[in-house]
Amino acid sequence: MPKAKQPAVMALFRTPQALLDAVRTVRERGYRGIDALTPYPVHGLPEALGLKVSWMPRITKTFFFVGAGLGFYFEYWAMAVTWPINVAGKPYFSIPAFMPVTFECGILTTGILTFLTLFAADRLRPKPSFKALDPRITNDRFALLIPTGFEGPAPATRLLEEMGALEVRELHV
Amino acid sequence: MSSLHDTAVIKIEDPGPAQISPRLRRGFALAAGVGIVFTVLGLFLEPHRAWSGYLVNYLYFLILGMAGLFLTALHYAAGATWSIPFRRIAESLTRYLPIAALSTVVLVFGFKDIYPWAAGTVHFHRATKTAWFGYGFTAGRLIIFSALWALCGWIFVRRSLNQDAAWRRGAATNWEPRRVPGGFGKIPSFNGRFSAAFLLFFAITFSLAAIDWLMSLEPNWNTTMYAVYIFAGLFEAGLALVLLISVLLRRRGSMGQILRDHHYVDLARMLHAFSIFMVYIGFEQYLLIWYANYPSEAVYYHQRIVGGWGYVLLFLLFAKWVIPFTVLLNQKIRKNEKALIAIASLVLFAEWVDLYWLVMPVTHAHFVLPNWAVIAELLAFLGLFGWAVTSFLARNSPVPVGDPRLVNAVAGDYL
Repeated sequence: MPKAKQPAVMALFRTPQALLDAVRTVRERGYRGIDALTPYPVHGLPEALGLKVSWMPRITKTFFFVGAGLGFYFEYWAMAVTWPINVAGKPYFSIPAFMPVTFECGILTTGILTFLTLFAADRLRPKPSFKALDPRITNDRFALLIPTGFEGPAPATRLLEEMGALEVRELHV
Repeated sequence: MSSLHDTAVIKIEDPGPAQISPRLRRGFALAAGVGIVFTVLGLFLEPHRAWSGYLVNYLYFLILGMAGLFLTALHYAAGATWSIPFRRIAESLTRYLPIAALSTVVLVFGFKDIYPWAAGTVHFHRATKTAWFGYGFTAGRLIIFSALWALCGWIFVRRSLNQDAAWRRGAATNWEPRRVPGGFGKIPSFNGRFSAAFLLFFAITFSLAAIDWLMSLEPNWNTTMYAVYIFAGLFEAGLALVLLISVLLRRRGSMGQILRDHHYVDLARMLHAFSIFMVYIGFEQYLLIWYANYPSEAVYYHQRIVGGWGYVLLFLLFAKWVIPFTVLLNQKIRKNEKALIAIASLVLFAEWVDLYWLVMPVTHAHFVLPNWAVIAELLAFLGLFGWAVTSFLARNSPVPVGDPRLVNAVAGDYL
């Protein structure tokens, strides 16, 4: 369900350092709900933005144990319960032989379900085309987005220009 | 607050020699002295047990010294930036290698008490194998290998210290790769080229030596994974020791402002990865032998599982993989110094137990605790190793201040 679009301003910076300084200043001035878009992961940016630790790793860990457990149980059920086959005189329930498949089941389940969960959580879905905010963000520019719900775009624009933004633009995201 | 990424605001200050209390160094020297006296007694009074213990302890500390050499070479060969703050600590471990080479000479006198091929109790079907395990040939190649390793360590350390000295004089220390004029590639620095050659040399010599030291305890048993297993233990224990020393030095304030949390995270992540490598190699070897179940192969694990040795194997599984893996999975714990000390110590202890478990079941069908002779040997080698490493660190800066990319490593701009 798409949310209603919010008014915001976007500023482009030349360096990651300029972006980091701008993020800190903007947060000190009390702006919340800001977001940064960069061409590559910038070290220290999540801390500067005040992002909390993601819950994805915990979900991933859960998926792994569920997948590996189900895989292991399936092997036990198939090899020792429904159709026991004597393989080279080994016990029907042979833990070492089950380990590789258990591991693969865990990895496969984790990979697929984490991928799907991530897309669902971010409300991403296949679309014929995406309209990029600015193509330069994928190359050599570092963008900062500030929502300007109550006070209008003017104060935020002024602040960002003081911070040395190359360009400030109003938009709806 | 100076921010990360900004190399301009970071000043590299020489932290000076590590603050290691003279009491600690005297303690190591005392342990070595007492240990050596009792080791000699043990080798004469209880030769059989004591020579096996000698092999365990000799190999354990040689492997730690080799790990320092290997990690240094790997660092240069990969052109890594992140590991620069740890490089001098890895180099300090190589200071033990000359002592290890001398103890190889001592080991030669125990061949008859350790190895069945030297005692003449086994016969090989192939003439080449009989020739390979000739007394003189085996002794000669092991001594030559360990002497060459010590020489390589000396070359690395000397070049690194020269770089520091040049930096202190204010001379240019830019030993970076040069661009090929008019070409696309880069010419690696001398260190890069030497490391690449050394890694090849290390792979061959260390594999052969692992076969001579340990696999020949059961001369008619063989596996192609053996050297890799020993190498996996070397890698994991080496990372653990470098991590342990760097944490202890930083807690004493010897690393200046150079070692930061993100370096711990990187090294702990590496330890995490190589704990997986260790269990992968160990389990692969076990699974294939267990599955095929040939009597000639399975006897190796049979010996090491029955008679109480199986609990040791279970301990190794937990200490080398399950515990490091689960604990280091957490990003916050990778920055927690106390947790890192605990994990690194556990891994180092497990490596010793691993070697004990590889050597002792050959002569002892039932589990035995190390007796006084083995403890004395451990004390002797620990004393020598600790004395060699702390003496080096007490004279030299524990960070390679002369490395031109140290500032990038501190800033973390390789991230």
